[in-house]
Amino acid sequence: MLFSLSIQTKYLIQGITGKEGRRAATWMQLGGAQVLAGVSPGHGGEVVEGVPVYDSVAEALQAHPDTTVSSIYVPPKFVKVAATEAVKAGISLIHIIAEQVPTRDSVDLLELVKQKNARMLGPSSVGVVTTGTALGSLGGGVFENFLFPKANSPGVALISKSGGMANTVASLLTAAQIPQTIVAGIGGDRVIGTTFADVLPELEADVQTKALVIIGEIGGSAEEDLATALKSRHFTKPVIAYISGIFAETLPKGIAFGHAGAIVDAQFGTRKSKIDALSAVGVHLAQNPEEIVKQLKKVVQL
Amino acid sequence: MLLTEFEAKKILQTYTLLTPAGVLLTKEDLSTSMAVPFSYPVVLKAQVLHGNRGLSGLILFADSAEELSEKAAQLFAKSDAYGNPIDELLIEEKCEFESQVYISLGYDTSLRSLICRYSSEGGAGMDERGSTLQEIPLSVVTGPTVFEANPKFLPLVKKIWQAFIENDALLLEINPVGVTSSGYVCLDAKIELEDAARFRHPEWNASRLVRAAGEKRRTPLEQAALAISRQDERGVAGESFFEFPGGTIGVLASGGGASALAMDGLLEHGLQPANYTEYSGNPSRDKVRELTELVLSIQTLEALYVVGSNASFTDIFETLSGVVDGLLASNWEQQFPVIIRRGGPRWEEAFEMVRTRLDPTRFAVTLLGPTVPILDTIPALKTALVKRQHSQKERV
Repeated sequence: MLFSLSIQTKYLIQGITGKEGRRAATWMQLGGAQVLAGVSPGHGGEVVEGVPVYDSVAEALQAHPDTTVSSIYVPPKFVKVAATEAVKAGISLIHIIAEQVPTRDSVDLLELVKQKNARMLGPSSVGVVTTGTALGSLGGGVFENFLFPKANSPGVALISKSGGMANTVASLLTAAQIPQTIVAGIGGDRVIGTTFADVLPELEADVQTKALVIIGEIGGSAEEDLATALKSRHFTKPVIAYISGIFAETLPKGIAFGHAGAIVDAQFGTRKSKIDALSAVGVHLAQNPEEIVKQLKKVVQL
Repeated sequence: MLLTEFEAKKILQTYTLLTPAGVLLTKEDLSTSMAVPFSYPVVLKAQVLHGNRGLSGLILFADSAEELSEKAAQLFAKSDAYGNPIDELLIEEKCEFESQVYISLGYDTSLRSLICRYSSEGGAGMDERGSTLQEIPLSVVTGPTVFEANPKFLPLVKKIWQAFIENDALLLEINPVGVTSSGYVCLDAKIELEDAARFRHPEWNASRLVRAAGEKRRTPLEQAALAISRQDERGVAGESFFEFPGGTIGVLASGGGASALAMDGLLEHGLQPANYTEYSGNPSRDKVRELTELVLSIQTLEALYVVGSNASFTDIFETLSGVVDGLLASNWEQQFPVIIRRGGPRWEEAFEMVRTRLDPTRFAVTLLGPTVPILDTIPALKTALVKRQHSQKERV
């Protein structure tokens, strides 16, 4: 079980009556997710895509006490309020898809999440697809792009900052008949709730996962932190990484490229520093996404 | 959004932080008989958005009114590191200090928290004294109650914290804080505000918002793109836009990851982008149309390159309709090459729409679906460019 998500996981969607929330409700259910409730203040009593809507997370949890995950589909300016409500009501994993959430709000939420022993995925996380369930919008309701391993069969985990790249590389793996135990877009903001390093213990413990593929980009320190964690936590499975950013590094200082966190700043967070850090701990670097498949075939038997 | 030193100090003053007496001088104010409401010597500092001003000759000193006029004229004749003219100078009373310290607040992406950086050896050249910096994590919810690095600075750090939080800064750096007989004086200040928090700050007026991208000023085209993106809150379309004069490939990318991949590919193949811009997060058809028109207004174009990963929630039909609307409204013709690589919700319907609406005698369209690797678009783009050159030769 990865990200604590399984076929048994029960979800609610905050902002379910909005355009994106409604689509997510459809797609998550198509992906096998048990979406038990929606929350939209002022819309209590409505039903969206077969899902009952409540005015607050507390009311939704009262009616559906087994719900552990909230996928949050509200505009960036309401994210902090909605996520705080969810964590305080007892949700153990909040998923935030919105981009452009102020860093102060994300850090504020992380302080709360730590205090309450909860988890946060995102902001700017497209979501997760894993055997039998789906969180968020990854795949957009089209699940043919993903290939899940059969019971007790091997697969690889694919974790990407960019949601589009998660989807795109999953398609490449599927075309090459490489099953995926989990595909996740963790977000490209400066500060995110779940980073590459955070998922290592679960991936190490998961017997079906035989290798890890990560898609990184310039800016921040998630890739360097992964390198440190791979070493200190004795991660035993092969890791393949693709890091973009040749163009981004031609831009003037302080400019974010593509994602809010993708900023070149002096010698910190550059493509070279990430590639050097990862190579030094034995990570296989792919020069382009297609090479990921070739590298995988070399290092794992699937 | 980076603020100039003058703007940053105005914020600091509202938190009762001390700054030297100073006035802002614009080119129009420049005259031979300038008077400042404080005593000489004074320091003249060009209000540019990048660091290392001292080394770039953008900070000068004057001992008299005559010298002030002369030095001001010298600075106004210079340009900043990006070639932009100098529009404003901050003239300040020269401040004597006993020692100088470095204090900044910012986010640490590794710790994922707010941190205060402190050094007892502040001043120019901090890059070389990185080892003297202490890093102290702070909460964004409750202000600092202790400052073990140097307890006498706690009241100052509290005020800096408040200024940082209330203004939604990403960085608030005071270097140096001068330790003087009259207290701690913020001699230089750098503040970067976070654009994403603008909904909390009606006081950030629009002109200031569009002024700069990082340390560089936005060009008129880059400003226009930002205005398109910010018409409404649904998705982004032109939020980032970089213009590369003389380039030939008009770029409309989607999704941060694929954008990076495609741009890396262009450069590796020796192609010259005329711009980079991105739309994502399911923006409206109209926003995409306007952004497309803006890209197509670049006169040096030889092709339009629309590239994105397999979207999860961006409606490909709606957004590509915007691209087609933009193409039809443009002046481009004679089999102008258009390369489109997209996948995601309604992509097949979208491709059919493109085929139907774009006349093949006017636009040479290459449509690549979700199974085509992003980097395979580059050879397709090259082929289209060669074809276009051949057909233009024939026409001549």
